[in-house]
Amino acid sequence: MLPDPRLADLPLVVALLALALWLIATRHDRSAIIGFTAYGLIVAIVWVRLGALDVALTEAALGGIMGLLLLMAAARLGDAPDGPPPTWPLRVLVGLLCGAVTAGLAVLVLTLPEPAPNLVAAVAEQQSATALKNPVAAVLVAFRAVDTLLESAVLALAVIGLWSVGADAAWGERPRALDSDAPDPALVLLARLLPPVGLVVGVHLFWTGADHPGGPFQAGALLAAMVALVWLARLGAPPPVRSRLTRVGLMLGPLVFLLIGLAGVVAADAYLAYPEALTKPLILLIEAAKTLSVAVALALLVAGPPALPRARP
Amino acid sequence: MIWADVFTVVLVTAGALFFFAGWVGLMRFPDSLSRLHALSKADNLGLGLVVVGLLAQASWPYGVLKLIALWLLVILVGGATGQMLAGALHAAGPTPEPDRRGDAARDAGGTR
Amino acid sequence: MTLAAVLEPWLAGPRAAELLFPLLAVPVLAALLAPLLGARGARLLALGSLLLGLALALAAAAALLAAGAPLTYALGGWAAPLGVELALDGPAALMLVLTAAVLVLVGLHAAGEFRVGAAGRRVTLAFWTLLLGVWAGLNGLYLGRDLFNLYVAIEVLTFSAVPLVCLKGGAAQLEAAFRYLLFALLGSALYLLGAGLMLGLHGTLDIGQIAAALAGGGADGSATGAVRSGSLAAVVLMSTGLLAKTALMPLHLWLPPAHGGAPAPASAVLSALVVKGSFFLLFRLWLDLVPDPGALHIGLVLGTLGAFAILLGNLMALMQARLKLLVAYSTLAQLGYLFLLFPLAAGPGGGPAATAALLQVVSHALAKAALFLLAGRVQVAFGHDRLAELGGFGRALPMTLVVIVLAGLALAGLPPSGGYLVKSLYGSAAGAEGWGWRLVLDLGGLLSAAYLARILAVAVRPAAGGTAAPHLAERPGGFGLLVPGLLALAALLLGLLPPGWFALLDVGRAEMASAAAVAGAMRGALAAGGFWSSTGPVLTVALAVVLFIAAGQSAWQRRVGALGRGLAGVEGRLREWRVAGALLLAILLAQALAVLT
Repeated sequence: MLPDPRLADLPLVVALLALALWLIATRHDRSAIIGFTAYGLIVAIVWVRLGALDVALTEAALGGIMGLLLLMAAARLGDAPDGPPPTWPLRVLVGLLCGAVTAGLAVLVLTLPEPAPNLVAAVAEQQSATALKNPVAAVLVAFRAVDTLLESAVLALAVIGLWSVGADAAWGERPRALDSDAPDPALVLLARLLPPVGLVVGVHLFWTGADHPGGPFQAGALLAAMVALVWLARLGAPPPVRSRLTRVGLMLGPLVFLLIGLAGVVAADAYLAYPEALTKPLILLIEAAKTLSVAVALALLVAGPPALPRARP
Repeated sequence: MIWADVFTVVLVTAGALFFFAGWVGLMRFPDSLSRLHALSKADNLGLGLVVVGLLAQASWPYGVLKLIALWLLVILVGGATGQMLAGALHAAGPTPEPDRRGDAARDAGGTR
Repeated sequence: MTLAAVLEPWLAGPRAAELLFPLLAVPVLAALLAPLLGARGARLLALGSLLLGLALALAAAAALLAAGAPLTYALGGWAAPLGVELALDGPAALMLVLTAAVLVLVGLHAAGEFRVGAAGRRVTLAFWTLLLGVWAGLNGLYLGRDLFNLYVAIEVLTFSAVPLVCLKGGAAQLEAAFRYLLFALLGSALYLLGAGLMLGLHGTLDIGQIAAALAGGGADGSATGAVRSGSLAAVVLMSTGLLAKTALMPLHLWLPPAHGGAPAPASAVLSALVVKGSFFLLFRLWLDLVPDPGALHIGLVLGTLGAFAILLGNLMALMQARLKLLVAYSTLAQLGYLFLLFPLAAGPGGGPAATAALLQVVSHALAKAALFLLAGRVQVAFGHDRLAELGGFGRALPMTLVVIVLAGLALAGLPPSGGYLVKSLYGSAAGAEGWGWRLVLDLGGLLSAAYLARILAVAVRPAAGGTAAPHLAERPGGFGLLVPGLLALAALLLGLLPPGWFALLDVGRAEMASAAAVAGAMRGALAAGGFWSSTGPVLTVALAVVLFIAAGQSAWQRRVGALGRGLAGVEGRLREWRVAGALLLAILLAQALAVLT
């Protein structure tokens, strides 16, 4: 007789816990970031094992970009000096508090109803009205469209917020956080070979998202990574923040979504509803614009605030 | 299809052994360049064996092509990042830093 | 056909609920378009859409009064639990109108300062775009009734509010913004954890449906014990996250530097509105989602923290060396008043407590927006806001001082101000047994009078160099007093509004009976006896403080000073990351104990 198939996930669980504990314990910023990236990859595999492929794709795609952002920040900051170490009563107190909260959460999770009440049946029943075969896409673009709309607005606002921390003199310039003096030839080679592949995979992720796992966020994240790679290798440069075209690209996704949603009250009896005959084309239009905007926003977030060119020695 | 399964088990196990050897090398080798070498072995050969083993299970033609494309991508990215890491190590100077062994090893592992 | 006839279906007819989504969509649309128009266009677009938004908010309030019952709208035609619904009840309508009104006024005040010619393109574009973002997030918070939709609204709010802190671009401002960002994101994570658990427990995120299930009105009869305690624990997680975002003392490490360091109009918006957004969600969670919160001990925990904030916040305000920091600490104290809602609403005569908390939101928003704008005016006039070097500023800017005093009197709770109404309604909710809470209310009012008196004493005493007034770096125009004056007067005269107007608050919450409560409170206020019993102590304390400051340095004064420095040291420890983090966990556990025992 074969052992319980769930045992196959045991190494994954052990690795996840060990990495999490190590992440808390480590004192070096850079090691923590690298550990965190690895942690994100393991979490992505866990999502695969749980059957949540959409979440896994997002975790993997965004986790990589997060890791890059954090590493760049850590490289710039260097090893920041720690304050005086906490006194031992405080340490004990914090340990006890953390232990109590963790124990409470554990009890809570173990008492959750089994199976959890959920909306799977309701989604399956109504999904046909959205002309989408991927239930996650149906939730994101139809049932809970307003949340997706606001989330993409947050992403755009975050870029404006990032730009606003630049210096006054640099306003209108281009971001320069990715600039290096002489990119490694291996990086340049990679930046020539990888982006065409990434572009194909990204467009595929967007297109397949209607019926299979994937969608604008995952596709946008992948495309943003390719763009950042090109910028890192100095095969191209981020556009200046004064460029209206960039801003249009940044805002187009939420803007198209919102305008179609507003038109719904006339064309389909409710805000954020789609007229029956046009459901699929409208959703495709929204998703295409969103893919573009997510890619632009994430790439610009990696590129940093506008900066003046460094003075040559 | 029993022979295909045996083929897969043998090759994937062999690939896993390469990964294990790569892990041991990462942990035990004294300097960063050797550790890098161990890792590239795991990546190129270990993954290659796993992919070839899985080919017997994959659907023809797209499953097979996807697996091969995956392997080629990893070789490309692994090779390029390995080159970059080695270049950075070279630029940083030849002396191995015994007290920061753990850190450097994680660098090599984490950027893959 | 007249305009009224055309608008009839929306204002008083079947289409009233269609007003809800535009209240959210207009700010989002404007925030998305603003960067496309560039800095100049962003400013005009923001001002125009704010005026449109104010009109929409007033129309929604009118439609709500006409309907007499909460309005709900299912977005996309998908009803909850599958879809997301927006809802408008009395408190939400009040917040919508207040937010639009304060933003319009602050926007008009800032229109001169935040334009390309004066502030540069970066600041202009960012300020107006982010202001619109703050507005979008707040409206989303008021209209939402889906826990995840509310989470997204909080994120819109946070990501717009944080960069406002560092518009000036100094290192200290950047650090303050970063502190704010980290603590706010910690709060978001806790909230999201709670919302996720709630979905796992009930299969819906709709506040109304969860409340019905918990109260036993669900399809499957009453909720089981495990589901009930799980839900309460989830509420505690969300509540803790929101407390961090509201900066209830002692979780306030981010607020003084952020609100004290932002440009004055941004501080006004952050202090008057942004922290109230997360409070409003706490109001929803504990009063609308949790059935019978009075039976739990949660009021005691939140009320104790509120009382702590009132006392410590006011004392710290009294000791601040900079005017803007003084105003920021006063915000911390005033936020404390909001949390007295939770113990007092649970009492036997608790009806007026909810009215009092909502009026505190309004009154503080008006008065504090005025005070921050005035502090900014002083800072511009003298090039700094250090109180020690501002001796005699009242002689140079007499009208500014008058408006500061008006706004301060509203905060201290003199009749007929909003602050007076708040204290009076809380007092009647507390009743005879609640003497402890009443004592805190009175002490808080006296301490507010004390720091107001301190500003007054600084303003009239001779300047440092023996001259009558300090050197003016730049004489501000009289026009800039218009908006702060309006705001301060509105706060001071809030109690004189016809009591019938307060019936707006009661739509969907008949048990509040706000109109009658306000009428009752105001009847006593302006009679001679009532007026002096509320005004006398305030004036006495103010006089004492002025005399204390005027008297100079004696031995016992130095002892008082040493005591104050000791207290400031303790408060400084509370603002360390590790202490604040431990306190966050402790407050989480305290709330959990309060609801689960």
